Amino acid sequence: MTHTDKRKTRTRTLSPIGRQIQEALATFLRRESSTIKPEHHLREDLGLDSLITFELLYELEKAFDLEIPNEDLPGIQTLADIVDYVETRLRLSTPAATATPNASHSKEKSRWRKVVTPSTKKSTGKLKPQVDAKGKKPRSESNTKKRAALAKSKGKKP
Amino acid sequence: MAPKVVVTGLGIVSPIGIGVGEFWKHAIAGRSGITKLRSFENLLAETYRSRIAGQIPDFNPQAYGDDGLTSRVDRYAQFGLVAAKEAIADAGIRPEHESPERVGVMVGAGMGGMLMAEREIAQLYETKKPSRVHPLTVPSITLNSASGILALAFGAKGPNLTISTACSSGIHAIGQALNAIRAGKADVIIAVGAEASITPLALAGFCSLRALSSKYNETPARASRPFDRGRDGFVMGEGAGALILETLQHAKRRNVGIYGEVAGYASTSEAHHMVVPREDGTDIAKTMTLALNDANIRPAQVDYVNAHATSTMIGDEVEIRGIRQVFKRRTNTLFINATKSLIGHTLGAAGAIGAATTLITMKTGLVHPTVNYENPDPECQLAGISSYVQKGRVNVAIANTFGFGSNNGVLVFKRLVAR
Repeated sequence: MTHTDKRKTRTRTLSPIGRQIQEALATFLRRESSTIKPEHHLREDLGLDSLITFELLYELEKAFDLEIPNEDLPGIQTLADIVDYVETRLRLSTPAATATPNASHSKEKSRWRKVVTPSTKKSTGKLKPQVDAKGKKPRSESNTKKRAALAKSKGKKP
Repeated sequence: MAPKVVVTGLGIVSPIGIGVGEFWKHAIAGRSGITKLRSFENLLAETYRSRIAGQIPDFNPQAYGDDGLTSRVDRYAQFGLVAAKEAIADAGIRPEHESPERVGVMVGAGMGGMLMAEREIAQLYETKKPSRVHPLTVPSITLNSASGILALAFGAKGPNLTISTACSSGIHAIGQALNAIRAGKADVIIAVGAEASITPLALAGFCSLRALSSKYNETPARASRPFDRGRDGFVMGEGAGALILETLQHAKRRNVGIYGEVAGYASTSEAHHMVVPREDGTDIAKTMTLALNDANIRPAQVDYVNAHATSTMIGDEVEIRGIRQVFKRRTNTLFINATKSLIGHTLGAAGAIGAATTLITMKTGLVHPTVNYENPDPECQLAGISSYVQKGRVNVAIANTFGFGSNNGVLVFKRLVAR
């Protein structure tokens, strides 16, 4: 239901992160990125089955150091939903976490990574000023316990 | 004509009990074996999206007879050995009285020696010392390690195979045993499904696949809820099931009790998708029909279905859709239950535990509850599914399993009419 609403009302240009995800989808689907619209429904319009969607989410979790719980999945139906979700989550997470691309991940090859990795790396740099511009300071107080724990556990890893 | 093949012995290792007696007592009582996940050596349970599992606590293989083998093999093979020992004792088989080359072993294992594999890999990467890799690593992680050990333990020199078809492995092990005996390749086959893959990597992999329940981490006993509206994925389980198959003639000569006949078997692929079944249920229906044809049994003769029913949103729905297509009006009078509601999804062991459950149901006339079937999903609402124990005579039953990789396996069991 959400995607049909959006289809009618929303005309939007994609943010840098949005364009990365769009590019990743284009590579995976082997089609022109300009043919993939923000309002496109992942399953109905782009033909992504659940497994492919989970692969995409996994690549995003890795690229942006996020943890996307199963409860959040029902709200992720369209490309615009993904972009909004990732951007909201990044705003809530620590700059340190978003700015550190996972070293091991760029070495591997997959149908997804060719696109997600390089452009992610480029724009994670851009992400910081973007976030700072909105006046959100490094936000220890806004962090949920979970995010804090996540960052902590990340620090422990080699 | 191919000989009739019967089951004369059963063995079960499960999260609700080791041994058929313990398992059945708790199954009938509707006791869930799902608990909070125990943390791994170096990884906390809290780091997992799904933090519940059907684990077998404090499993001590030595308690079931120390044969000098059990302690040296991977946990999954230990489960298989313990279940097989029980089944052999139950069937009254004395290996020394059999011709060794007429006794075979068929094992179904989804993932094999994962625990050993993961431990050794992690250690190798950490120490960077190849010489510290355990000498039993390769003989443990090869998928046929359990079938090899079982042959060794019981002196079985006949056909010896390992079937690995993910979640349907256990059914196919029994099905291949049936085929081998029908073809005259063996008189007796020890058919086992065994799995111990609640390991750091396998659990993480299933979490990433978003196939596991994550809504009930605080209420583990409620997490595995096949056919219920509130289900949100399966719960990992571990264990083993073992069945002794032999020709009817062989069983009669030994003058032993018979659980029932393995009357039919079918194996198909949907050639459809890596992990999900075809939504209309036609391939599942086709597999059930093929198995019934193999048994020369009409759908209207079937009394009970031991469902695959893992508690995933799509899987349970598709299975019921398939059942409706095959059984038509009979659907409403079938007993159906989900053993996974009690013990979670034991992957490669599931088919063997399900088949053993089917035969116990036939023998006792008791259909164990499908626990947590509280608020039936309208797509899965049938009169014969209940969260309470049901009573009734079961003469013909089928056991379903559907595995990743579009793999389907169905067995048909039939009460043997005494002559």
